[in-house]
Amino acid sequence: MNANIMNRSELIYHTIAIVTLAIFIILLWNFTSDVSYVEDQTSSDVMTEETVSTIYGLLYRMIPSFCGVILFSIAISFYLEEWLHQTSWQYQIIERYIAILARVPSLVVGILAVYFILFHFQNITYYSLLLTVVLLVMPFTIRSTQKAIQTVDMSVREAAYALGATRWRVVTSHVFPHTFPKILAVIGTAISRILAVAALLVAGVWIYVSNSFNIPKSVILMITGAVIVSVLSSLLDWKK
Amino acid sequence: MQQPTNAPTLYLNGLNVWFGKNHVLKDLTFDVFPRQVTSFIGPSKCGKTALVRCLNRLNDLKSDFRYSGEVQFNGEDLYSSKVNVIDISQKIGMIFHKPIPFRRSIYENVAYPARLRGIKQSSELDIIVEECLREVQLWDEVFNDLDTSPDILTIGQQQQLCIARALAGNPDILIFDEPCEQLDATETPKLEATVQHLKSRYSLIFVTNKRRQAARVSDVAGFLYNGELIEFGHTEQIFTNPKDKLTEDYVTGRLG
Repeated sequence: MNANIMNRSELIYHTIAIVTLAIFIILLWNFTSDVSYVEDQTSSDVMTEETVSTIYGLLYRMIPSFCGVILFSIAISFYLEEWLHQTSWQYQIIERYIAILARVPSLVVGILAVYFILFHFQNITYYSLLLTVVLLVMPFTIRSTQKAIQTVDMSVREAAYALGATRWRVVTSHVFPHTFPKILAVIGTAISRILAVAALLVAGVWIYVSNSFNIPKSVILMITGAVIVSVLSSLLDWKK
Repeated sequence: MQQPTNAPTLYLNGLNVWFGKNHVLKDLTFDVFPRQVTSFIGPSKCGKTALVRCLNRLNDLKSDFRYSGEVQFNGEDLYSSKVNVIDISQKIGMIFHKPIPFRRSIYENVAYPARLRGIKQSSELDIIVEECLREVQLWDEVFNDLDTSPDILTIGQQQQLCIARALAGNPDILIFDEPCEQLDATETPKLEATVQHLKSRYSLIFVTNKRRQAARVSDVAGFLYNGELIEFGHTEQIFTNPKDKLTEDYVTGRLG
């Protein structure tokens, strides 16, 4: 009986999450297509080689945003795990959003980004790139950081609370130091995912524009960078 | 019942506790007086841990926790909205069944609650750390290793360290939640001696599922069964002349 009730409530949460996410994403894509916040206002019909350099320019501009997105994701994970009760409806709904988005393979997000940039917007906007990064990195980072936080033994938290520590103190003095190596590994993996998708994006645009498969060296560099960062991050995780 | 010489440190009146729909503590009423050890015995899952976690409000961490009744600490309602939970946690120290030293040096472990109280001067902290470690008879064993990790200590020493850390918070009550669960036969008597030593200064609550241990260390004992306080009284009376059949069955080993 209880199991049925749980299943029904989970189904409701899941449905709400899927529907609202779909509406939100459609609205957001429409919004970003309307915003012509473009570095290089070229003709929207023809993609020129300047487009590729625009991507590079935007990528450089995006670096602070990448950092912001990653830090924001880590903050959300701590909020979810340390401040919200796991049985609360807020936790359940956010958890469903993240679960759905985290299951989307990074390749799909990359292809989506290329598709929208080339065929939908025919322009590269800051917002569309940011949205790609948010879709790509946030669910993964939140999910992985949550897993890292969950590995901290509840008894450590309780021992600190029993001594009169505040919640903030428990998080900063006990939970964060325990999870720090794992969070570093998560950040590394997130960076490697961003690099990989950026490489895919540049390569896709390059092939489309130049109609040749002579992929620029920077793409190879980005992919190599992604591999190196992911290997390093797996080592960090392994060493704890 | 032991004649109270002072006002009770803790006073419970009709305490009921639920976790979700699970009614884990049923109508508990008893007093805890200063300078005596009050032990709670009972089979596992009878509500001993739920009870002591109510007393320093650790149950607040659980979203499905509900209670009714009255819990007074030093004459004030422990669950009043005016009560500062942080202050309460410092005044009611807790030692868990498993020693939980923090990932910092032995010195910093003991100094931690003192720092939480706002003490920053290193000379003052040095005194507190030494006093607390001496109280639990650990100073002579660790004074050369204060800057090292507690990992070098045995489980028994780690538990003594956790007691010293609780003392550094300057508590009025110390709650021991099955503190000898992980200790071996040589370390248990040392911890029991520490409990007897601390009795002269604090109110102590000692939860255990070892009947003989409760008989050895406590002055007052309560027998919990299925969340109900079946009997509460002098330890000697509980173990030699129990009034309730269930208590008699438990202390003689026929139950649990």
